[in-house]
Formats: sequence, structure tokens, C-alpha cells
Amino acid sequence: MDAARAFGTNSGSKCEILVEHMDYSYIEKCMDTKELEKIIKKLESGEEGCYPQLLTFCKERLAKLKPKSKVLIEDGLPATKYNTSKGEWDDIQKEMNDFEKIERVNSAVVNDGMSSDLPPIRNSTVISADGEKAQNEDWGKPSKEHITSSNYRAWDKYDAEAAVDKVEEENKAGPSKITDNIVNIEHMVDTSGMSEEEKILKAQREKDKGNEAFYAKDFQEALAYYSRSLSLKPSLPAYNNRSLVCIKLQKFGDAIEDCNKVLESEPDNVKALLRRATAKKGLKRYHAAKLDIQQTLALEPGNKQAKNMLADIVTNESKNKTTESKGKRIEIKEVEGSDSDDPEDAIVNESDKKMENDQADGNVFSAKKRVRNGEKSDKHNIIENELISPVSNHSEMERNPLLSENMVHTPEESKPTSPSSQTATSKNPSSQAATSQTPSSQTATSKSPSSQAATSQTPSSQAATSQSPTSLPSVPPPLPSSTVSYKDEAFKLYSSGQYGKASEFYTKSIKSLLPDNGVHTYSLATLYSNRAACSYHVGDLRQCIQDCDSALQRAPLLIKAYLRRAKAYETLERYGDAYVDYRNVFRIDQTNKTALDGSARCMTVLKEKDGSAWREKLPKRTQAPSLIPPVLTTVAKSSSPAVTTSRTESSGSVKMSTGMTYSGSQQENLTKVDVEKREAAKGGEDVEKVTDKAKEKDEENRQVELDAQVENNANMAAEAILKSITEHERKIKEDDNTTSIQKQYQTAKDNGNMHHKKGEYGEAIKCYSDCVALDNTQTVGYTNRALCHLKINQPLLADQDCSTALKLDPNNVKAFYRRALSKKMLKDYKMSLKDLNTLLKIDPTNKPAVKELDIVKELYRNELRCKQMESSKVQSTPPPPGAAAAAAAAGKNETSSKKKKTNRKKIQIKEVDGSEDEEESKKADAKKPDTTKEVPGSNIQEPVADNAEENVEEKNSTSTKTNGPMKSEGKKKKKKKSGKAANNPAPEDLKPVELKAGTPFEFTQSWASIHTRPDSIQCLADLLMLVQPSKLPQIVSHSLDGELLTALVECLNSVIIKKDVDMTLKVLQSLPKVQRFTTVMMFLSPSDKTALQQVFHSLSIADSNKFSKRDVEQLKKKHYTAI
Amino acid sequence: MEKPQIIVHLQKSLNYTLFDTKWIPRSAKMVVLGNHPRGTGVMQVFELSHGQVNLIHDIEKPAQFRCGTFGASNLSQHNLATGDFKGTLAIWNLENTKEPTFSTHAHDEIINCIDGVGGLRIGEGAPEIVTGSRDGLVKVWDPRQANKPVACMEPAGGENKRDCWTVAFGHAFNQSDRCVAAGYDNGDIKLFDLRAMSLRWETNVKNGVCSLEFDRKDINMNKLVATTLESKFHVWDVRTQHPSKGFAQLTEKAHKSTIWVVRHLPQNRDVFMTSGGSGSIYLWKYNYPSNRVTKDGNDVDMGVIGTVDLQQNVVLSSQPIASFDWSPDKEGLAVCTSFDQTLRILICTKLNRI
Repeated sequence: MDAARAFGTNSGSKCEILVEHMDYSYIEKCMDTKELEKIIKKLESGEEGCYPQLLTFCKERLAKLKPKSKVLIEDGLPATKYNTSKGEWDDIQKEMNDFEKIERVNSAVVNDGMSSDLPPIRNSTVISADGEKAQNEDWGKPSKEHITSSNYRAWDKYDAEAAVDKVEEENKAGPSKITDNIVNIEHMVDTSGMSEEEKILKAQREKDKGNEAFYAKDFQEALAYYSRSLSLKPSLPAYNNRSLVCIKLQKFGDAIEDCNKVLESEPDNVKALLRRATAKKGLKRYHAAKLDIQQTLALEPGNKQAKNMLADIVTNESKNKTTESKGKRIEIKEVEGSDSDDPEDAIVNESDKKMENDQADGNVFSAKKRVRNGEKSDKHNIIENELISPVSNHSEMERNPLLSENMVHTPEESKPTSPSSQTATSKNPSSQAATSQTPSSQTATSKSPSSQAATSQTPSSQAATSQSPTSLPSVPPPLPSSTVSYKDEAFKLYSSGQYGKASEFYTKSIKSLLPDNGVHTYSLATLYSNRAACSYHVGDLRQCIQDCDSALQRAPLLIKAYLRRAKAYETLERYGDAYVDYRNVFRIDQTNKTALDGSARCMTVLKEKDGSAWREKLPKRTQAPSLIPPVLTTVAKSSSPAVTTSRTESSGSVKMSTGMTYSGSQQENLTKVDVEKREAAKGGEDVEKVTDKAKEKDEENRQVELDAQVENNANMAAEAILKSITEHERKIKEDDNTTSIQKQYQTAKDNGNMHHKKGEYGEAIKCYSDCVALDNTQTVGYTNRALCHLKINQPLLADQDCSTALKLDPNNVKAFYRRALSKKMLKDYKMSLKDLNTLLKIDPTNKPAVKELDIVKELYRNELRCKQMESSKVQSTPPPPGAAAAAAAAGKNETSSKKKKTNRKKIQIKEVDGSEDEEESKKADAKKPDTTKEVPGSNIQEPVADNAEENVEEKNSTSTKTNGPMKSEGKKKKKKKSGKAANNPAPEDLKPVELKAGTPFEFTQSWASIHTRPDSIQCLADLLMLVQPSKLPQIVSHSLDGELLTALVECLNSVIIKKDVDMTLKVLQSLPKVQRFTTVMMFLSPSDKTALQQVFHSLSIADSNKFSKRDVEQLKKKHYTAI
Repeated sequence: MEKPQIIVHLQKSLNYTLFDTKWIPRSAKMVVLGNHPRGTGVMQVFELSHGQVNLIHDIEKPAQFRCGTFGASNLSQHNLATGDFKGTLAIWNLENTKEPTFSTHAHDEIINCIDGVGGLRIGEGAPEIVTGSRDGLVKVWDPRQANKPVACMEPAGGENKRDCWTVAFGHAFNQSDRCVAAGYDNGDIKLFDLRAMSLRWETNVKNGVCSLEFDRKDINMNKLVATTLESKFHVWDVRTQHPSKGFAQLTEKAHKSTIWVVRHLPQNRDVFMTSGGSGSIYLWKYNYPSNRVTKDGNDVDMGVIGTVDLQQNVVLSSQPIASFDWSPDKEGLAVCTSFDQTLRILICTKLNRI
């Protein structure tokens, strides 16, 4: 027993369970489930005795850690009457009683259809049951072609390539062996000779198979089996299920047909309705889909799927208007919970789960919905507006496919580069102001939570707002601080989703403002409307409506209040009121998507409810003042009369249909265009600035493109950006579409853009030249041509074009940027820097410019250095020709590498002058991050520490990885550097930071690292100081060789003896104990011997109380005997 | 979600050894096969009526019955195919059991296992019966041809004949395709393709294979389950066959004894029952992986196996459950026999909620 135990301890717990471990305290602490399982097994086996309590304890422990452990599975007893609920048991008995009658029910004689249509009897065959193993004697043995490793002659003849080919052929042949995986299942079943009962049976069976295949995600197969089932006996569940499979297979047409069949006989089949809606959604027939969903919701108001899908459709619909190509995404997932009808019970469970999930996600979902609807987020509204305008373009411009693609990219682009999106949106304040902003709503928006974020984030857009033609009207006095703080708190809570608390804070702020009702009317209105939003989310719809009412009393033009009230009404199913409110919003802002969708929704419901005369039944409510907001009127007055007419037209002719979106937004766009045109004619500064901004955006895109090209993603990015350019330029075209020259200009430019996109720069240049010939006052032609010139490496021409453009428009950012690029290519870094700096003065947020500035700066410094070196070092080889160009290329590469690995650590390779000492270099280190950070804003001429330049060099060397031709260049530089380092050895290099002598290995390492250095003696001294002399023999051990000994002696002689005489003695005492000491001593050169003698001499001279002269003498003898 | 429950609806003690039991299609009757201690074969038909199991036919024949199937029967006439200890394959019309409608000396030794396809409108193509015997042969029969089998799977060498313990039809999803799986006492499992008349795949599971079944006979073969001695069963996803790796497989331990039978629920192929030597039955549910097929390094399709979940396990007897059969007509209804000479009618609840 003891022996066994001992063995157990040796072999470890993995294979044996120790008796000691069969213990309560051990088991209680044991976390290893496998071990616990083993303990249980061992206990159950009874080898160690019977411990029932311990066993149950152990099982309990295991159940805690791993409830699903196999060991814990214990066979239960079959359930009895008492294990099931009474109803269930009765049901079972009843079912069984019914089942007993099965034969009597189906006793009708079944026609025996077997005789006629059976396939012929097979020809008798014998199949060998022997597998490869038995058939092939050599199975598992080495093949005959196997060559033993010692058979060199055979190896000489062995043709490796032929063998490889053979293996490949075999591999090719292998998979082709099994190709009949694609199985065609006939969609029809031959029903001849089948009785009705048989058909039903078989149909049921085929449907089961379909369900199973569906669960296994084998949709083709499922489709086949459902079809078979239907060919036998049409049944609604099979149709219904097949429709789902069709949806999964994206055969929406078939799906709709199937659903129709179901709905013909069962018009209230919710699943069929939902599936038809999904299919219609898949076909992008959103309107039809919506109708189906509404019907579903009418039948089952709580249907989550339907609600989700409705929300989805609404967003998709709006998206689809802008992004045709994006509409392919289909949310089939939602329906998955309800995939088959027959195992309906099973599905109920699934959908229950789904519901729970939905509820759990409720917050997220509602948040999403909010953003989608764009009610709360003005920014979003802005973007949406932006999106709408191209659509109207789109409808005007005869559906240019290019444009429709543009739209796909617009929102995407405005997202990732925030500054650009800001500039993109910067146009909007003006447009918004022109359309809907009354002073009240202006203030309202600036206070509403999200818009605050939107505006305060971006200085540029704020600037734009202030620049926009509608200068803010008399601003009401600032709010009391308490109100502001309440409001801020409420906003925070609101945005974090705590609507209840937010509502409380809004109430507080409202209370604090109520006394000043007269002054802060609009602020109050906003607060009310915000509180309404909170109560809406909390679900207190009555409160929400009340708040909206009070908000509207104060500010009758507050769109949000209307929208919120409408939503509340809609949720309360007071569709009439909701409709009226949506219409009110509409009167104020015709572009409002939410209002559009909402009113369309309500309309359909109302139509269904009240028939064609539904309009008459609408509640007579106070409608929003249909007068045009004051600010707008002023704008309109000063502008051409066309604006007002179009406006009234639009508001008059609005019809509640989806098509209206187009007309509304179109007219909207027209007004905007008109306003802009007028102002352009005036030559007002504001507009110019706005266009500047737009150009900046363009510029930005341009530069993004450049970067992208460097990254070799050129195709994608360039396309996207070019599209956005064309889009933008189309907008510009809108501005001037009255003049025919402009049209020509535009076409020429478009052609140019096209060619540019395709990479036909020569053609593009021609087109742009045409542009210039048509109208030499526009900068676009010049700048674009410059870009093309840059592309085909004609920096001089590009430079000229940019200069011309800048003469026309001294603030053209694009031109500056391109001129900087061309100057860079011409290696005129100074001028390039100058351009970039001017650019950044105009637009400090221009990222590409900042980047470019960095690059050029470094290049410039590089160049300066080269020149310096040239002048100072005559002996070194002259800088390689084209170094600058290469460096430029490296610069480009650098951007790419920067982009690719932004979080890469910078390794500093320092080049230090002899005079610099360590501390200084450290300082420089510390400074380095600062300087690099400073770079964007700082002046280039500022003599940054050398390390910046070193960075460039280092990057050059990294760039060699990516750039083939660059390799030699980088190497040369490195060589040069190392040569320099050798020339004037700097102390920094020689600092023995890593000297360690704890073990023989460390000592050897340290010695190896220092022994080639000129100051090795000094270093060795340092090293020796680290070693305890008594341990020296162990540490030096067998690494002692002549060189080391010589060095040691010299070291003792020149350094240590001066510092520490005792140390010297101790070292000398321990030296003879080192292995091989005597041998090595024999090979000492005469000079070393004299050095040793000197050591002893100085030792004997030295006056110390720690050792006597006799010791020295003895030691001396020891050493000399060795020699 | 509540677990499915297994209820012993009825049980009946009998006075002979029970080997096999099968539901008679489209009825509330079952047939039980076995042998009397005196060495004669028994075939009894029981009927469920008024909450009782009533014996309605009792037939005694000279040879002991080992196994039977309705797989090749048609719906109207209940043609039970049986295999007996003497190696005779017989087909009986249960209305008239005096003489078999078909009888042939199929094997030299006991017929251990039998399976049928093509009858009952299950599986396309001709009705066929497959038998496996201790003589090491697996033979496929057409009821229309009594004198010789339509296919015979035999080892070529002749000397390494293993006892065939189980056979199963599958892959009968059209007129021409059909597969037979056979399991042997040495752990070999062989899959024969009756269209190509060749061995399609083989493997060895180290322990004798007690039972084999495809999850459904009349579809493009999907899953194959094999139970073995020493408490293991294996599941293969037989949809995707890799040229070198074969089918994806999983192994599960259960019952702590020989697993005698596996039977898939006719109404849901992903639910199956295994019965063990200790008198226990385990109800399993197979869960598909998110993706059933992946690519290997050479871009060749490779199957991915899912998981099996134990849904319920109960112990019914102290003796092995030697046969089990789900009712094809009523979901959840099953019959089983064990060597304690008891016939049990079981009900599994909530199977449609698994």
C-alpha cells in the first residue's frame, strides 16, 4: 500500500488519485473537474472502501463546478402520473385513446400500387466487403518506392520534382472521386396509384423532411421537399413554410405567390402576412411591405417582429431612396423564429426567446430608432437633408447611374473624417435657415441636447452658422445658471437612456424658468418638448402630449414638439390626430422625413379604417400656422419671386404619397439653389465663404485620395472620392445651370473627371484644358488639371496651373495643396512648406495638409543635412544622386507605413556627437515626443533636435522593406552611419548598461560584448567590480583564455590597482583557482608578464593593513610557478 | 423549457425471450418476435385498446425468430419480413400466417439483423430487404425474387468473416441511389453503395457495433449513428465525405454498459433514443453546427459535426433493452422489449418542443 502511494506521488495527480485527496477538505477546495470526476469514479469503484457520504459530497461539488458532467448523469425513473400535471396526463390518455382508433378510422382498403410502377429487380451482384485494408496487402506498409535513408544510389536517381507532380496529381484526383454531393431531388412526386390517405401521409412526411432540412439550413433541399409535399397534397402550412424557404433563397417572387395562396384561404394568417412583407421588402417594394405589416399589426398589435420590420422598412425606404445598391440587405433573421407551422409549438418557444431578447435590447433598439428617425438629432437631419438634395438632382438628371452611386458614398464619407463631415454639413445651416428656421427654432435647436453636441463639437460648423446669411435675430437673455445646470444634467441623463430621471430634471428646469415665462418663451418651449421626449420614452404618452401642447403654445413652430406629439398619438392609435400633427410639421418643414413617413403610415391606417372619405373624419384641430416663418419671408422677399411661388406651390400640391418625397425635396432644393444663385450674383462674401468651405471639403477628399493611393487602395477610395467630387460639382452646376457656357464647362469637366477616374490622365488634361478655354475664371479646371499633371509626373505644369488658380482665387486650398505637392516633386521643399503653411492658415483642420507638412519638413531637413554633410565631410562619399527623390519616395512610403502601423513603437537610432553626453541625449529623448507633436503647428525652420532627422533615416530603412529600389539607398546610409560611429566612438555607445556577471553565462556574454571595444579594459574593470573575487573562479571558469587573461592583467595593472588594492589582491588570489589558469599563463606574452610583475610590484609597494608583504610574495610565487 | 418526459404507458410480462418488436404501420398494433424456452419461434401481435395491451395473434413456428421489419411492406398488407436462427428469411402476411408468402434460405447461420426500404412509401425505388448474419455476409433481397439475393456483400478472402450484427438502409432519396450500412462484431462499419455496387466508406470503432441507423432512410444521407459495446455511440455527418478524412464524427459515452439499439424519431430525424444493457434508455437531440461544411487546406469540402444533447434518461429494467421502435404514426409513442421478458409501451412527451 505504501509503495503504491509513493508511486502515486511520483506519477503525479494526473493519472492517479491519491488516497489523501479523497478527503472532504481537499474536495472542497478542488477546482479541477477532471480530478473530481476521477475521485468519484474511484469512490464508486469501491477500491478504497465505501464512503457514501463522501461520494455525495464530491458529486455535489462537481455539480457546482460542472453541472453537465457525464459522471453526474444518473438514470431517473420513468415519469408517472404524479410527475406530470393533471391536465397533461389526461391529455396523454385521451390522445392514446384516439390513437387506438387509428386503424378503424383508416380501415378503408388501400390500393396496392406496388405492382405496376416498381423499378426492375436488380441484377445480382457480389460486392466485396473487403476494404482497402484487406484488398491491399501493402496497406499500412511502406510503399515499394520507399527509399531507405542509407540507400544513396537510389537517392541520386530520385527525381524530387516528378514526385511532387505525382503527389499533386493524386491530390487532384482525390476530391474528384466524390462529386455526387450535389443531389437533385425531384420537386414532383408521382402520385399515380396512391390513395388519398397515402397522399396525405406522404405529404406530411415530405413536409417533415422539409422542416428538418430547414433546421439544418439546407434550404434547397427544404424547398424541394416542401414542393414535393405540395405536389402530393397542397396544404397551407407547406405553402407557408415554402414561402419562408423561398425568402431564404431570395426567391421573393415565389415567396409572395406562396403567401398569396395561404392568404387566399386564410386572410388573417399573420405568418403569411409577415413573410409576404419580408419578401416584398426583399423586392424593395417597401410600400406594399408596409401595408402587409400594418395588417399584421392590426391583427396582432403586439407583434414584435412586425414592429421591428416596420422600423426597418422605414429606414430602408429612406435609405433606398438615396442608396439603391444598399437595399440588398434583408433582415430575414427576424422571421426565423417562426419558420415552420407544423411544429408550431416548438416555434412558439423560440419566438418567446426572441421576444425576451427584444425586450432586453429594448433600450438599444429605441435608441437606434431615435437616431433613425432623426428627430432628436439635428445633425442627422442635416445629413438627411444633404441626402435628399442629391436625390432630387437625381430625378432631375435623368437617373444618371453614376449619381445614384454617389449617394451611397456620401453618408459614408461624411462619417469617418469628422472634419470633412463638418465641412460637408457646414452648408446646411444656411439651407436650413432658409427653409425652416425661425428665431425660435434656432434657439430651440441650439438647446436641444443632441444638436448642442452637433454644433459645439465643431468650430467650423459654428462658424458656418454665424456666417450663414440668416444672422441670428436678437438673442434672448442668457438662461439662469440653475436652469442651465438642470438642463445639462437632464441632457446627460437623457443621452444615457435614463429618461425618467431626465424628465425630472427637465421639470425642475421648467419650474425655474416659469417665472420668466415672457422672456424665455422659446427656451421653455424647448424644455417642454424635451420633457415630452422623455415621457414618450418612459411610456407616459398623455404627459408627452400635454408637454407638447404647452411647448406649442409657446413656440408654435417647434417641429419637434409636433413630431413628438404625433408619435405619441400614433402610439395611442389616434391616427387622425397623429396625421394632423405630421401635416403640421410638414407645413413648417417639407423635407422632414419622419413627418413624411409618419403621415404616410397614418394615412394608410386611416384609409383602412374610414374608407376613402377618411380626410373628412380628421379631427379638427388647431393647425400649425401655415404662414411662412418670418426669417424665411425676408429671405424670400429679397430673393427672386420664384422662391415664394415654388414654396407655395409645393405646400399646396403636396399629396400624401411616397412620391411626394421627391417633389417636396426637389422643390426644396430649388429654393436653396435659387437663394444661392442670387447670392452668388450679388457676390456676397458669405456665399463665397460657404463655397470655400465646400471646396475645402473637396480638397480634403482629394487628399484623402492621395493617401489612399499610397496605400494601394487607390481603386476603392479614388472611386468614392471622385464620385463625391462629381456630386459636388454637380451641385455647383446646379448653381449656374442657367448659362450654357457653364453647361459646356460642366460637361468638359465631367469628362475630365471620368478620364481621371479611369486613369487616362492625358485625356483628362485635354478635357480640363477645354474647361479652361471655356471659362478661365474658374479655378476648378486649373486645379484638376494640376492634379492630372501631378499624376503623370509633370510637376512644373502642375505648379503653373496651381499658380494660375491661386491668382484667380488666392484662398484655394486645393491649389495650395497641389502646388505644395508639385514643389515637393521638384525638390523645392522650402516653397512647398510655404504653400502648406499658407494652406493651414486658411484651413487649420486640413489633415492631409498637416501630414504632408510633416513629410515635407522631414525631407527638407534631410536635404539640409545632406548639404551640411557634403560641405563638412570631404572624405565621405558624396551623397548618392537622386537621394532626395528617393527620400521623397520614402516620404510617401512613410505615410503608408505610418497609416498601417500607427501604434508602432518608434525605435530611436541615435547618432550622437562626441561632445554630447548621456544626460543630454536623455533630455533629447524626453523632448522628442513633444517636438513630434508640435510639428503640425510649428514652423519648419525651427531646428528640431537631430533625432527627428534620425527618425527619417530609421523610417527610410523600414521603408526598404516595401520598396525594392530603395534598399541600396537605405543600406548606404546605414553604412555611412556606422562608419561614423567607428570614427569617433561616442561614450553613449560604449556604456556597458547590460553588464552582468551573476553567472558564468552572463559574464561570458558581457565580456564578449565589451572585449572588442577600445575601452574594454575600463569596462572589464567595471565588470570585475561586479564580481565577488571569491566567486571569480566559478564565474570565469572555462571562458578564461589568453585574451581575457591579458585583459585582466592589464585591467588590474592600470585600473583596479589604483582604485582598490585589496580588490587587486583578492582577484590575484582567486585567479590561480580558475580552471586552465596554469595553461593559459604559459602563453602570456612578455609584455603581459611585465604588466603582471608591475602589478605585484605596486602591490608590494602599496601600504595596506589588510595584507602583508608575505601574502604578496606567496601569491607572486604561485603565479610565477605557473609561468 | 421543460424537459421531455418518458412515461411507461403500459407494460406486459411475457413468457418467452423477446428479441424484436415493431409497430404495425397505420395501426395501434405491434408485433413481437422471440423464442420459447423450448426452442420454437414466437410471433405475437398485440393491440392497444382501452388502455390495455391485448394479445390478438399468437403464432408459433419451428425456427426461433431473431428480427423483423415492415420496411419493405406495403401499406395495406402488413408484410413482416423476419430473419430466424436458422438463416431463413421469410415474409409473412399477418392476415394469414400459416405459410410465409416468401421464404428463402438466406444465410447459413443466424440472421442477426434485418432492415427494409422502399415499402410504406418510405424511400424511392423498389422494396428491398437487407439481412446480416453470423456467417459474415450481408445480403440484399428483392421480395419479388426469392431464389437469390440482388446483392451480396462478402469478404473476398473468405477466412476473415466477421459476425454481422447490424444492417441499415439509407440514402434512398431517388430511384437509383441507395446505401446499406453494416456493422460487425470487430467494430468495422462498412457503407455499401448499391448504385455503384461498391464499398463507399469504412471505419472501425474498436468495439463491436450493436446497432446502426441512418437518421432517415429516404433522404440524401444525412447522419449515421452507431452504438457499440462498452457504452459508446458514434454519430457521423454523412453529407460531406472528405477524400481522406471521410465523414465528420462525434463519440459520446452513455449508459455505462453496452448500447443495444439506436432509433431515430420518425417525425424528427434529429431526435433519437439509445437503449442500454443496464435497462436504461437515453433520449438525445442532435444539434447542427453553425456551418456543416468547411474547406480543408486544399479547398476540399469537409464535414463539421455538431453536438448531441441528452434530453432525458430513465431506467426501465434491470435487463438490457434489446429492441426499441418508435410508432411511425404517433409522435412520441414507442415500444420496447427487454430480456426481463417484458413488453413496454412508452410515451415521450414534448418531443415537438425539443
